[in-house]
Amino acid sequence: MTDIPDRPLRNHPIAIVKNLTMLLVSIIIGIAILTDSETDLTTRLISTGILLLITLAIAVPIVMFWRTTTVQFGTEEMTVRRNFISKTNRSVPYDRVAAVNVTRNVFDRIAGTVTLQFNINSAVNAANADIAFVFKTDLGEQIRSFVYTQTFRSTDRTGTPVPASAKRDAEHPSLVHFSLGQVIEHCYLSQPTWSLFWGIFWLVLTVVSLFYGSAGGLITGLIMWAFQTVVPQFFQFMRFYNFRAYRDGQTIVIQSGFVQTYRTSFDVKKINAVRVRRPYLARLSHRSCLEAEVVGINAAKNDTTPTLCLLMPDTAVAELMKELIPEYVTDQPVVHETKHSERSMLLNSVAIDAILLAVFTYPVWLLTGVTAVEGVDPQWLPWINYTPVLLLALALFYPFWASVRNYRLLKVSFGEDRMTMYRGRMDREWVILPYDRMQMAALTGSIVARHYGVCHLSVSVLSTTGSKNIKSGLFPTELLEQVPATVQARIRDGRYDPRITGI
Amino acid sequence: MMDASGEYRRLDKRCMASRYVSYSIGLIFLVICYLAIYFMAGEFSHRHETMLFLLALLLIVIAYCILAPPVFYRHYKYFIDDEKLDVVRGVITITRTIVPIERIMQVQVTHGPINRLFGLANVDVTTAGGTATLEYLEPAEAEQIAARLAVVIDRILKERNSA
Repeated sequence: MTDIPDRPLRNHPIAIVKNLTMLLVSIIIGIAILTDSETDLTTRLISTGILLLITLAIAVPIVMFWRTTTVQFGTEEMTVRRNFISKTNRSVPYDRVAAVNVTRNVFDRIAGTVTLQFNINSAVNAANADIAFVFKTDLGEQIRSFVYTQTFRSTDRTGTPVPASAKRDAEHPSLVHFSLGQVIEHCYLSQPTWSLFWGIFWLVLTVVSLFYGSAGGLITGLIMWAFQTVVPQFFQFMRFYNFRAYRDGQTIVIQSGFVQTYRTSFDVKKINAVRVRRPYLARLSHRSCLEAEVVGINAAKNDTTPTLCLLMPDTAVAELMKELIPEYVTDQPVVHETKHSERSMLLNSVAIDAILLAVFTYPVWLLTGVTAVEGVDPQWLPWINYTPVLLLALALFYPFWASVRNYRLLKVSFGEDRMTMYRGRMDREWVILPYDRMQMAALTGSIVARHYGVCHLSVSVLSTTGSKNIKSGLFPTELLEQVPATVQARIRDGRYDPRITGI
Repeated sequence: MMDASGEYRRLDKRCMASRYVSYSIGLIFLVICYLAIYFMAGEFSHRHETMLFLLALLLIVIAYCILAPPVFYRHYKYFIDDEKLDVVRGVITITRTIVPIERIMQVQVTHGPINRLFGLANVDVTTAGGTATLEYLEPAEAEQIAARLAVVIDRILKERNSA
């Protein structure tokens, strides 16, 4: 069935080098101190001793962990054994694996290895791999193929088993193709609008500071712009360069990366929710991107965007969904918020505005009467006098604007095995949620909402980052109560099959 | 809105005492902050008005802390059967949380320091999507609920494994 050795396998030695990177940095700093001609002998001896201690303290555990950690791939489960300090023996059945990831970073490229990562379908540790091992590329590919087969028991759409040899990436053309410009466009436009405007704010501050010769503003603006926009988007670009996506039977494979390559594969049944996301600027150009909540979809740490597809024209995304995830194509009739919902939101807005006025009218009134502030040029006084008034006016207007927009935009639709929530005012998204993946449901209503018989529905699902709450707009309570009732009914009558969905 | 039949169970009145103590701890902290500002901030323009404004906010919080526990007690109810756990709670905003027993992964009984004072306990029910809590229960009842849920979960797991 497979050429994978039946014995316990150890990490490739390059894993030690990877883990010793920080140690190498400290050694380089230490050598720099020791070779400084102005350093006296005592300092050199002390530095040498400290350097040796740091080296031993870091290197010995890393080497010992490498020596004593093995993984063995059986027919039904993989077993990870550790025998350093404490003895652990961890068995993971293949059917508990949510995603199989393969990454190649600089160290892997040098040593001709790959890093295999396996995520278990659990909220704990969802953003990081539960099991990660480094193997020579050929062996790694064999193991990936084997675990992939055992985990997903791949079949084509007619239910016929797909042979393992058919699962090579080269044999599957990508369903999507993106030029360099489109990847850059995705990195910039797919971020949330508040993040985009925040980045623009820092850029404007930098330019204005440059114009007025303000060194403090220039440095602050540049640093904040770099951390807010440039660095994250550079890493996004590195992540999504050469993006490929295809479907192999019941398995979806996503591959991308510039220096470090990522390949993640997961069973379509492990998807907890699908999201079509349309940030404001992308929406203006009729573009959207596709995301899925799957545990372990991201091989990269700190990257919590479970991207199935970069920004594409809306029509192309609809076509891609038919190819990649036809199970999630939905054309159910939508339900809009009712007049009662609108009245409830408007009355809530009145209450919010009453509180805002009660709290802020007096402080704002005081600020309008300020005639001098120590250390502030008098030419700025009108700003101090009237900016709070403007901000208060905007704060009073916002709840009404939000109510009207919510009434027009927020929708839900219900199907036999899934529901869809249409959410967002500026950045919009449709979230498609299978009933069988919902973990908890909460119906929430304020005093006013209860008076009008409407409420919000929050659904908890297992997500890429652990767990996530997805909240609907205000809809009639009897309508939303159908959701937990349907979840329960599917469990009761056997339509929910835990052997298929895992959780 | 989310009212159901009389199958729901209500809490013991000691839950109000427990909440009063919890709120009192927070209030003591707020009063200390207010007094610190009053005595240590020194003179500044509009000091009198500012202190009156802060005092008004503090009084609103105190009023909420006095009124909220009875309202919380009146709203709180829960229901458990072999299929689901259903908890209704809240003061101004009422939330009804429904957890299918099938989704429960772990059940835990916790006795916090304030709850211990009043002989109460919580039952935390963990799913893959988050945690729901049954609060202010009699310890014996909490243990009984946890044991009952554990039996149901065990049965479900056995059925799954044998299928």
